[in-house]
Amino acid sequence: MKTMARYALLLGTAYIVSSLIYLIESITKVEISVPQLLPVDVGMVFYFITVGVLYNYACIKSREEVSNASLFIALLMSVAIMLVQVINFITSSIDSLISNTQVEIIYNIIRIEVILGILSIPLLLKMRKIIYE
Amino acid sequence: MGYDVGDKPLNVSPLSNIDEGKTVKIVKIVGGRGLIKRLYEIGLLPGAEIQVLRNSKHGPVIIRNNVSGTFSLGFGVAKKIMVEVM
Amino acid sequence: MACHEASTSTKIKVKQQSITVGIIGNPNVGKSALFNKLTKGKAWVANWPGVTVEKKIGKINLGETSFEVVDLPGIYGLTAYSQDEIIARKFLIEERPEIVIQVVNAVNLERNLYLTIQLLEMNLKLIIALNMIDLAEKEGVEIDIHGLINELKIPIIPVVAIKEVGINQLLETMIEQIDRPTVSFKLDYGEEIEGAIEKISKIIDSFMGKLDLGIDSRWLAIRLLENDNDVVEQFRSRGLEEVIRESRRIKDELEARFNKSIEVLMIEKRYHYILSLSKKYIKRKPARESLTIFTNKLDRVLTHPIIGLMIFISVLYLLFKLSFDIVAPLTRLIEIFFSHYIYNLIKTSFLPDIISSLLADAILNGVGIVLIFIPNLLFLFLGISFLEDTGYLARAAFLFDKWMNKLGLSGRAVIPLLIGFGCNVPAIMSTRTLGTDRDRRLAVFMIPFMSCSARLPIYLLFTLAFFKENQIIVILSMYFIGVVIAIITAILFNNLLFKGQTVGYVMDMPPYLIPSAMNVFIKSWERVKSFLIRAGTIIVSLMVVIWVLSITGPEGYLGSEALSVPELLSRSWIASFSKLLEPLFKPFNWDWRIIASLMFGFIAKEVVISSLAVLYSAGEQGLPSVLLSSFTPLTAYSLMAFTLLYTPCMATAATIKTEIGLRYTLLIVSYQLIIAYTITYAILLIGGLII
Repeated sequence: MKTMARYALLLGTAYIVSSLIYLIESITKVEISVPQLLPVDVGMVFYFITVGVLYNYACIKSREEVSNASLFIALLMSVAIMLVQVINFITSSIDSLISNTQVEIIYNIIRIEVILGILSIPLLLKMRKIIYE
Repeated sequence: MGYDVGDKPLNVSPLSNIDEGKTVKIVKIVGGRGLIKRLYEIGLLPGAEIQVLRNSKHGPVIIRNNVSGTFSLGFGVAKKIMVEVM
Repeated sequence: MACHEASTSTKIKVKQQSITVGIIGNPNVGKSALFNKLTKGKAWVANWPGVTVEKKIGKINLGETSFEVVDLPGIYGLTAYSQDEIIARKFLIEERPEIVIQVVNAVNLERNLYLTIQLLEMNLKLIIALNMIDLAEKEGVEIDIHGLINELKIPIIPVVAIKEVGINQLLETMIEQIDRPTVSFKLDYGEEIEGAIEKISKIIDSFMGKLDLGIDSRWLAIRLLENDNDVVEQFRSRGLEEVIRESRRIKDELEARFNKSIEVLMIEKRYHYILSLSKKYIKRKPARESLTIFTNKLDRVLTHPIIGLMIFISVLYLLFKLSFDIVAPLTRLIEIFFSHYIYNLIKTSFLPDIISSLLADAILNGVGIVLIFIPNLLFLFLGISFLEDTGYLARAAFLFDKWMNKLGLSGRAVIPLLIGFGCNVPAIMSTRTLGTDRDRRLAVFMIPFMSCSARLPIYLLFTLAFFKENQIIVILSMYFIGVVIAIITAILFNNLLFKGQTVGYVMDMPPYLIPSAMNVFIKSWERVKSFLIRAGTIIVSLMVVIWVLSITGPEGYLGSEALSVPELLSRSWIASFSKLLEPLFKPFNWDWRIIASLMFGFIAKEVVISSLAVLYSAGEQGLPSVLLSSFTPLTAYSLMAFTLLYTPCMATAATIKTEIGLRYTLLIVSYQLIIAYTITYAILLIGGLII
């Protein structure tokens, strides 16, 4: 359980840090990080912050049931955005095949949402069992 | 889970005033025929014990009991359900 | 009475062909899942007569017998307060289905049994499909099915609709039941009420010849005692005021004796009976792996006033990303295929000019507009159906109920309204989830003011030319105007047109479940299909009309080049109408070319830009500079506001027509034109004072 909590906190921090860098970049207009590691737009920033908040809420809330649920939802949201990003990757590859505009395929698939989403899957499977009990 | 209305209750207040997490017993529904029938049909009738899961006090409430399952009731409805804290 | 005889004779014919089966049940008990499994996804959708609620019908062939299965709206009882209940009752009473299957949720069996009793009292041939039996087991609910069968004397089949468990047994039971007599069920309401029931049914019996409802008089008596408006109406329409008067007298007498409403008393009697059943046949043990606990835990977070809201916005973002951003390439593919490939094929064919233009510019263009919606609609509905089937939408409705109430709507309306920002068409279609017709109409009136994504290109073009510095603020102000007008519209129509009472918002919060992929897909595809067929035909025909008005004018046929040559187009009917309207727009300083572009904007709002480009002979790249020379920033801003408000586009109008009827469509269009004119006038007036 302890390692799980640490792992979750790590994921949550990644979401928060990444959106903070995005916000700093857009205010100061200085490029700090690789674009793939940041959200793509303001909507995504909000999404990232929500996921980050949920992870943290899970750690702060002492009451077990709420913290478990919060963690579970955060993990679900991580996986959901990953799936959407993968579908995005597929449709844009079809597009680039047909319209011959070379989109950097690797750029689209190695994005932070995808990495964090994949990292969330094992934890999600474990949480599903815990939360039912 | 009994539906028998007991002795005259002492502290009756509308459901909309009840804190989250409390379990209450329905005493009376003060509303039109339509509302009363609707609530009765889903098992919310005098004597039913319900648990208040969520109540923001000025908006809808979420309640649950074994017979009905979980329901959300609008503020207007919650005001008309008189309950007794158990 | 002639009409009634006709209906009986058709009923006999139907009886020979197939057996009608009605599927009924509380909301969220897995009714449509069972329907889909029974009919194997082969069903068609019709409308219930006179209303906009969908009626799903499917056919099953089992050897010699064939069944026609009708999916009825989800209801809790037969009070007939909401439209769904009226439909379900009408079907049960007037069409008398040979068999009725009640889908029952095994987890809250008691609540479902209330409807069971009411159905039994109607003397219908009832089969109970005890759904989600697996979940009930996990919840620790133990049901003595044999005991219940013996007590109620009707077949009860345990099923798990999603996993296709028990479906075959259900089909076998349906065949068995065809020749079985209907069991008569009689709930004892106690001496006094029973006496009253008997008195009233005797009176009814004496008039039975006149009544000819084909229903048991005991049931009618019970309904009269319960003050059932519909039954009262039935008696009244047959001139049997006397029966109504007598039953009222008996009811009043009884109420005076009990000092309590008889209706309430009768419902209580039914519940007493249900509780006695529950005590005997239902045991609740501590849950092994409880969905209720799981749901309660998730709800602590998902209905949280702040975090719940954040999650909702994020989910909505995901939904928009899925159905607007991601499908953009697919939409583009369809567009390329139609407006380039096939278009050129037809245009370069050896067909006479007018025919190839009709095919390419009118019909193909119209079909293209319809088909372009498919990826968007499909993905959006997949997302919405998924969220609906997980149970999450009920929570979203809860979160917004407080705010939507102020507009006279229930929390459920928040989803259609927000989808409106993406596209008005699916937004209007998804108002189907709103319970009453009144709520639906009110939401549909508001949706066209939600600035959809097709209006954005117009804002972008104008702000780029005129408001480079404050582009974002000017664009946001458009969205703001739209929302404010929508709110005003809601308040206005809530008090004027749709003054009805709402019984109050009572909504089931189903447990969180992983939806069945088949259900989600069928539901989404049905919605897309209904758009393609119903709205599609309207769109293509409107497109032909616009085409005819563009290539002909007061002097006759102008040639299909009119669509791209400004000199010719200026002699078309559309141009003539626009010139005719010019005096009306004099206060705005708009010349006929703007008016004509707005007319073309009815096709789709973004067409305003391409029409302006043609009429100002500028080409889309050169348009900003041309506009700069002939517009002031104020006229540009007023034109933006006008395009936001003036009329729903063709596809939206067609959808409104199919959803709530032509009368309301015309009302919406004229209302919007008036609003657009007034607001534009106000902007110019106020703007003129400031500048």
